[in-house]
Amino acid sequence: MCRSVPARLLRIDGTTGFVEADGAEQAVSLLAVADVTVGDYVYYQAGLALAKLDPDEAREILAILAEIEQAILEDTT
Amino acid sequence: MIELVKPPQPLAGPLRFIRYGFMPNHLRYCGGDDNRTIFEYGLENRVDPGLFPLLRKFSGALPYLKLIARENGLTDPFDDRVVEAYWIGNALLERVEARQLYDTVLTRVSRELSGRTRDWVLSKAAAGAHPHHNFHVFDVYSRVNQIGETLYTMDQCRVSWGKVVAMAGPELIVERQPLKLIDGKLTLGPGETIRSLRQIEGRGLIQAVAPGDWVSIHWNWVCETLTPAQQASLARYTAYHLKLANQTL
Repeated sequence: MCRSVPARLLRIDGTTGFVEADGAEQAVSLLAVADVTVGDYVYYQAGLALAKLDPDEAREILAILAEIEQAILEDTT
Repeated sequence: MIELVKPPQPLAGPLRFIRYGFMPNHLRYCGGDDNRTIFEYGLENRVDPGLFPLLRKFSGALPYLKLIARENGLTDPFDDRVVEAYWIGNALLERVEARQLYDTVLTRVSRELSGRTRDWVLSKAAAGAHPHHNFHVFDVYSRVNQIGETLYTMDQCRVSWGKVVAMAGPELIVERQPLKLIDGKLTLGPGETIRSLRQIEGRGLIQAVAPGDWVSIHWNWVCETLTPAQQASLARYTAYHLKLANQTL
């Protein structure tokens, strides 16, 4: 997506990683990050991984994003 | 005999959203796995209840649309005025700041956040930032150092504008200012001529366009023709949020 967010790497094929976002698998280039493996969290924007993230930090940010989505859900039901 | 030209109809909000969301979704950067269906809706200018669940999968945009709507007393996040505010910019943005979204969320989070996460939240809620698409494009997390490497991505992610120079089949030749990093700051460079896509397999969402028109561009996809007022608004909100982003670079 156009905003930059964390995501967990589900699998890696060469220099391309795959993350789950918006309910679909999305490809991200890993050319700008070093030493990442499956299960790591990366911060990415529109198909480009920008940085490797500490797992606790990533989970905390994802929890914030989940709060936002939950707030929206409650607002629409 | 004088041929009467029918004025263009206002674009419904959901259809305008498709214009901007189509290409990043086609590239599988956002939204669900429904690209062909979304494209067909756009081609047919069709809005029905089946479209909304597809649009709601754009989880990056929806919070901002809802915030803009709520703070302007509107109930529909896909109201045309709301969608225009988010992608292009209009007066609705003046009544709302992006930080309202995060302030709301922080009150819901009972646990203590780590310093880094709090930094992340605060970076998303820069004072004065409006919930405009280009705000969160320029707002790259402060821990990311290689901003030069992300410049191309940011330039494609932002909604930009260009003036049509010529038609070239499925493409338009457009003069557009690229995003540059000069002396460590983000700025728009001098206009350059690019080829921007308006059709895929001979079909496209934008029909009436001619040399001299302003168009909006997202991921090198021509989204729609802009009125001079819309172009000025997009330029203004882009410049404003570039300035905000540069404060933290």
